[in-house]
Amino acid sequence: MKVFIVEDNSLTRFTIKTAVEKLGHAAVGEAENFAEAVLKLRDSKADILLLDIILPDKSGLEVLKEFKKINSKTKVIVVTALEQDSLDEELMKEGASFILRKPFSVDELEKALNKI
Amino acid sequence: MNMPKNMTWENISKKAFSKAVDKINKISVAKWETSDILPNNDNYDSVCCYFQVDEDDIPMSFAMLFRRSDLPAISKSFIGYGFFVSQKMTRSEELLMEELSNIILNCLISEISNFLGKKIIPSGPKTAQSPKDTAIEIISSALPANAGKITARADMAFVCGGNKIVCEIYSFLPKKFAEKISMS
Repeated sequence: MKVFIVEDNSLTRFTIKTAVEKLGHAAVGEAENFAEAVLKLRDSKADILLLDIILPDKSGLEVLKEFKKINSKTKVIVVTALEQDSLDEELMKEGASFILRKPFSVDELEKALNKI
Repeated sequence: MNMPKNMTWENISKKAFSKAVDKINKISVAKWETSDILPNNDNYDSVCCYFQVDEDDIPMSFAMLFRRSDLPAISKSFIGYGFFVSQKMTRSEELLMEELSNIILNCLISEISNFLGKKIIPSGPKTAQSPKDTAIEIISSALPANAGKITARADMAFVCGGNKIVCEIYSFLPKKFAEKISMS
């Protein structure tokens, strides 16, 4: 599967990318903030978007809303350390397929990728 | 103005820190455990990681302060090797502290959110190195005065790799949220 990663922390982004490739998938793109994500995702052919919620400019929730306007096919896995009932509810309503809690193991990432 | 001591705030922070330690143990090299807190109010050279929130135009800030001298022990327990303490923090040290604070502060923010029944999405973490009192003053004063901010403090102590680390955690909350917590 082709995976696009949106994550602001470069260390975490690198770790996720390495895990995605270790699981036999292709990391086809990455972005570190809302503006870069929205721009790059317009032309992306990714099957799955791994989306962080805490970003420096606007939140991942805003990325999700913008992204779903232009692409409803790509599945979105939200990757976040936040565990808030009202946020989870809104993310699922806006089209997220799965919420993966940080920090996570490679096994947990694999399960999430297989689940959707 | 400081939030008066109350059980709800104690329960929120206790639950958050317990969750945070479980999460840290999932990925760190050494085992981390919460420990007893000894009151400490000296003005040390701190590493301060902080989040700001402007959800629905309601400003809030959350800050976590570590002793600069504790960084080698923290990094050794977290990733397996200790950084050499130089005068100025390196980007690698900042990323490490941001990741650790990300886990701990997000557990606290999530518990507050679930208590208030309101989503709270912070901005990306920022890091500063300065004397503790200066860091607190700057982060606190970044909030507009008309928000009627209340400072809620909840220190956290943990043992990792044989070292005891104490960090101070400050939540600068709007008055109406702080009152909801302290009056329940």
